Amino acid sequence: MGGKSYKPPASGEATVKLSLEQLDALQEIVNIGIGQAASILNQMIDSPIRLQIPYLKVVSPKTLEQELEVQINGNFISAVGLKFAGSFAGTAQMVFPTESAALLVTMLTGEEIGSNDLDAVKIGTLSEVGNIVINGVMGAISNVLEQHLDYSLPNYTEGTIQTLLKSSDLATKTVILFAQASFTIETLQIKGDIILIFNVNSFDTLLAAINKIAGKNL
Amino acid sequence: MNNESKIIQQKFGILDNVPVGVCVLREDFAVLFWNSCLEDWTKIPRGEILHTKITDHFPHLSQPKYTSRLQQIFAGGPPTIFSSQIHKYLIPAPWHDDKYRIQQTTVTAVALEAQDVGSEAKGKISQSFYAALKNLGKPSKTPRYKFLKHSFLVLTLPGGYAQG
Repeated sequence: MGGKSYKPPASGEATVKLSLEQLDALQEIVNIGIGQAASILNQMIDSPIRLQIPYLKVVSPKTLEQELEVQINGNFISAVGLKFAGSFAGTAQMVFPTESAALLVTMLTGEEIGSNDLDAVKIGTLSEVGNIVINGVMGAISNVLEQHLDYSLPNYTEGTIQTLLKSSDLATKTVILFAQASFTIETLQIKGDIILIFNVNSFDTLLAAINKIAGKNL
Repeated sequence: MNNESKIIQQKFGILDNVPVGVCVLREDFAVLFWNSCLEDWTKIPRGEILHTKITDHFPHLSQPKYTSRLQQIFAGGPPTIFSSQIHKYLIPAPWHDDKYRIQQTTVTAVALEAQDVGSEAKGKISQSFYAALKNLGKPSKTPRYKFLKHSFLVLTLPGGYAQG
C-alpha cells in the first residue's frame, strides 16, 4: 500500500491519486459506517431499509460540481452537514435531490408531499436521516483509523449546488471523497450523495492512518 | 453534594434559565442534571430523578433504537438528532387535552477533565471506549486516545407545541 502520487491542481481532476488498496480500504470503512446507519434506520421504521454505496471516488471541487450538476439537473437539493476537526478536518455532507428527499420523507412519516418544496416540518426527518448516515460513516472512520475527531452541531441547508459548495468553503487543493448512497425501501429506490470534504493537508493524515491500519492487518 | 454533582451544577446551572428542556446523562444513563424547564414539563422534580437511570422513568428509552445511538455518542461519535417527525418526543411532557409537547432533540457529548471528576470515573470511560471499538468489528487493546476526559450527554429538547 502507499502508491500515492501528487499532481498539480487542474480543472476536473483530483489533486491526489489513491492506490487501489487505499481506495478499497476507504470503501470498506465507508461500508462499515453505512452498515451501522442501515441497522439504526431499520430499528426506527417498519419497512426494511437497505442502504448501499455503489461507488466511492476521490474528486476535485470542480469535478464534484460537474457531477452534481448532471445528477441534480439544476434542481434544488437538501443537505445535512457536519463539520469535523482533529487529526483531520473538513465537512461531511449528505445531499438529497429534492425528489428523493420528498420520497424519503413520505416513506418515513407517511405524510404526502404535494409539492417539491419541503416545509419546515419535513426538515426534521431529513436532518435525522442525514445525521444517522453521516454519523455512521464518520464514526467508522474515527474508530477504524483510531483517530479522535471533534464535531460541530449538524446543520441543514436547501438550495442549489452552488449554495452548497459556497457554504463548504472549498479551496482548489481540497480533496473530496464522493460516494453515492442508495436507499431501498420496499420497492422504492431513493438516492443521495455522501460528500466528505477534507481541508487542505487533512487528506494526507487520513491516508497515513489508512496505511498504518493496513500495515497492521495485511 | 458530591464532587461530580458540584461540577455538573457549575457547568450546566445556567441552563435552568432557558425555555428549553435540557438534561445531562452519564454513560450508565444516570441523570446528572435536569433543568427547571424539564421539571415543569414532566412534573418530575430533580430531587426525584437525579442519580437514577432515565430508563427507569421513561422505559421506552431502553429500546435499541435509542440506546444504540446514545452509546455511539459516548464512544466519541458526533452529535445526534432525534426528529419530532420520527419520534414525536423523547421525554413525554404532557401539554393539555391528552396531548404531548413535540420535541426536536439534539444530543451532544460534553467532555470534562478527568481530574475534575476523579480517577474512578476515568476508568469507567476507558472501559466503555474499549467496548465500543469491539462493537465496530475492529478489536483493539489500544484505546482510541488517552482517556483524559469524562463524557456526558446533553439532551436538548425544545418542545413548544402539542401533539395528540
